[in-house]
Amino acid sequence: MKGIRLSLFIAIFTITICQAQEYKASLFGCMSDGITNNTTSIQAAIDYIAEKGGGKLSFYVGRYLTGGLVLKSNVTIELHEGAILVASSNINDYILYENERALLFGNNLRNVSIIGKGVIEANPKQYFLTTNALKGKQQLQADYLALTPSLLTMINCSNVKVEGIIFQKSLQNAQKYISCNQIDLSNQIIRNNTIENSGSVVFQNTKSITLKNIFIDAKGQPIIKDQNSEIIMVENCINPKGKPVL
Amino acid sequence: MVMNTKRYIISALALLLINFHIKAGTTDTIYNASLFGIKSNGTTLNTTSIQKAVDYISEKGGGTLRFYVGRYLTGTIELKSNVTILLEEGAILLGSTNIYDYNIKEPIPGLVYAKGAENIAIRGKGVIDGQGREVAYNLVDQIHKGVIEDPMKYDRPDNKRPHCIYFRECKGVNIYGIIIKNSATWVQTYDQCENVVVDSITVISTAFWNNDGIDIVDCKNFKLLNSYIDAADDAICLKSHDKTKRNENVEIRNNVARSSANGIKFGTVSAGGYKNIRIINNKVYNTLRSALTIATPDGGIIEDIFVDSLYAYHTGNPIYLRIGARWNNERIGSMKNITIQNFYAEITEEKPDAGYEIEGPVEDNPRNISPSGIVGLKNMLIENMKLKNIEISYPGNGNPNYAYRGTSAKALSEIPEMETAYPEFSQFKELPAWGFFIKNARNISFENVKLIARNKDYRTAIVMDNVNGYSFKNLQIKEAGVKKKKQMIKNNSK
Repeated sequence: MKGIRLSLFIAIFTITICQAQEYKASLFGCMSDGITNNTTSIQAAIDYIAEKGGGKLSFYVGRYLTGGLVLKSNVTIELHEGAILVASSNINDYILYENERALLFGNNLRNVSIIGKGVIEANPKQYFLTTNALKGKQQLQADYLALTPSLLTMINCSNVKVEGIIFQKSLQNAQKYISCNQIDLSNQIIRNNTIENSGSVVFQNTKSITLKNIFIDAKGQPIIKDQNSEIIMVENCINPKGKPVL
Repeated sequence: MVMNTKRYIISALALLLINFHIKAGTTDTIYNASLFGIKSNGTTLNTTSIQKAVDYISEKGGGTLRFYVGRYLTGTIELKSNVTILLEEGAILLGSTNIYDYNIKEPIPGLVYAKGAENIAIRGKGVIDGQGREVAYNLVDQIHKGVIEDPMKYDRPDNKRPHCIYFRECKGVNIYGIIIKNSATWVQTYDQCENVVVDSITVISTAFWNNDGIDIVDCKNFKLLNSYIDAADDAICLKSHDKTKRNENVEIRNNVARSSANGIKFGTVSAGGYKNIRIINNKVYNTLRSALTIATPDGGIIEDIFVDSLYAYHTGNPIYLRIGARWNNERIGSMKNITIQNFYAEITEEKPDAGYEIEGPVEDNPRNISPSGIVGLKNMLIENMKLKNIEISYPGNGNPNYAYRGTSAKALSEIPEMETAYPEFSQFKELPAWGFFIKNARNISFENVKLIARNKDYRTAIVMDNVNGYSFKNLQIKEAGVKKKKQMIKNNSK
């Protein structure tokens, strides 16, 4: 009897997980006009979905301006074709965690996906104008350049999937994975990077990495990986000259 | 003698007619808004008092309702025959942000609405401000609360968003001088109207999705003149919603357009078609998609289109012509007798509409900068197309490692037909030409055409596939950094 109850519970639990409910961004008041700063409403959406046991937050066509967001386990972000997450040009809008600054930030998470044909982009010109202005007013610490935000940084996360997304106009690194496990990156386009050493994908102490169908137009080295990182599969990852990036 | 008498009678009749016209003009009585208790404070909702004023003036045989400087908050006003709304400089007709203040039970609601009215006008240097973003998001809120049902396709309301101006089946319409701002959907629509003149207006609407600048739908004798239109969606748009109707005798002259979609567009909905459309001396700039799109995906017949002196700066694509088979119910659209002359376009590599609110989407990637397209169907060719005195400068830089399409017969046959898809210059993703891609066409002539690629491109300038009859007279192709290159590919063409 106990066994049946347990398996029933597991079955229901699995069904709940599998039926990852979709929540549209507008449900949380997110605005696609490109000028409304949506940070708090998108964060509220992510937190709400995580509390409900997980699901998918869907963005449809439009520009969703946002500052730093903290990702949560079991929450998928889907950017449909034409949907753009636009990073704020204010350095203080980003997530700052130890020596990392990021637009999308994950720490100690399981099962995180960012999928779709949409875009994640910053605005380097505006960002550095704003940042230099702050620096001129002595409002920034000297190491602010070393802490230029990435578009996505994940620390100590496992089972992460980033599929189909276009990362463009990075301020520094497009994506950064530190002490992660099971990182699956596929069908990405990383381009329009204009700032020195921007657009790279960085792996530190990260295991079980698979890379498939990625076009990287990075200003620096496209893939930066330390000795402790382990890429288990690479397929069709090229730079603009058509050369394999690894 | 008989001739003279006849002449005399005709002149007398003409005089009488002119006299009658002048009389009709001079009887125009002006009523100030305050007469009807209309408040200019920006907070009083004036819907009923403005409506009373319009009804009263119409019942009295017509006249002008005059608004002096102030903010006049209102919901839907239905304009009646022989009534002119005069918005003096500084007067703002301000749309309510409450969706229930609009005539949402009508299939298409509007802030200024008219159906079957004759001899109506909106004039003056004043403003109509739809406050569309606020209206739209309040509507979204009502949908999420379950009060209003809506499919929310693309996560935005499908129905009930009010236009700033919606006129249907009206005759004798004059819109002059006003500024129209911030619609929740298309800014202004004239559907099945006759004898319409829209002159010297300004449209600035990047408030919400589907902000077409002006939609001319199944109209007869329509003039759009001397206007400036900055719109989030197609700036100047001709449509045909009724398969038994069409746009006929339309003149679009001396306008400047900016769009996060197309500058001047025929379609997308094109059920009946378009005949005798003259587009003369217009400018398009900072526009995401094509300067000119002519599309008939829904069975409409397009004929006798004359485009002269169209100048496009900082746009994403020059020209896109397309026959499709989307909502056509087995009627196949056609396109013939199209002349485009004295056309100049500068195409940019960066996003042409960057920085505008409701910026257009990044889509159909990976693809290098798209060429102009003239694409018919296998069983319905685009016919009799003349391009004369054309200069187009493209960025070039097509990178085969980013996106590639070959030009062998096999590679060309692999380009999908996409006849049921939404017609857009980028729909095929990568195309094998940087200048013109011409497919399924008959009788195409190029005269004095200059195509420039500012950087080296892996593609050829012109690719033709299934073109039955073409001529090139004084074609110049200049691609930077290239001396000898085959710049024209012909497949199954003669």
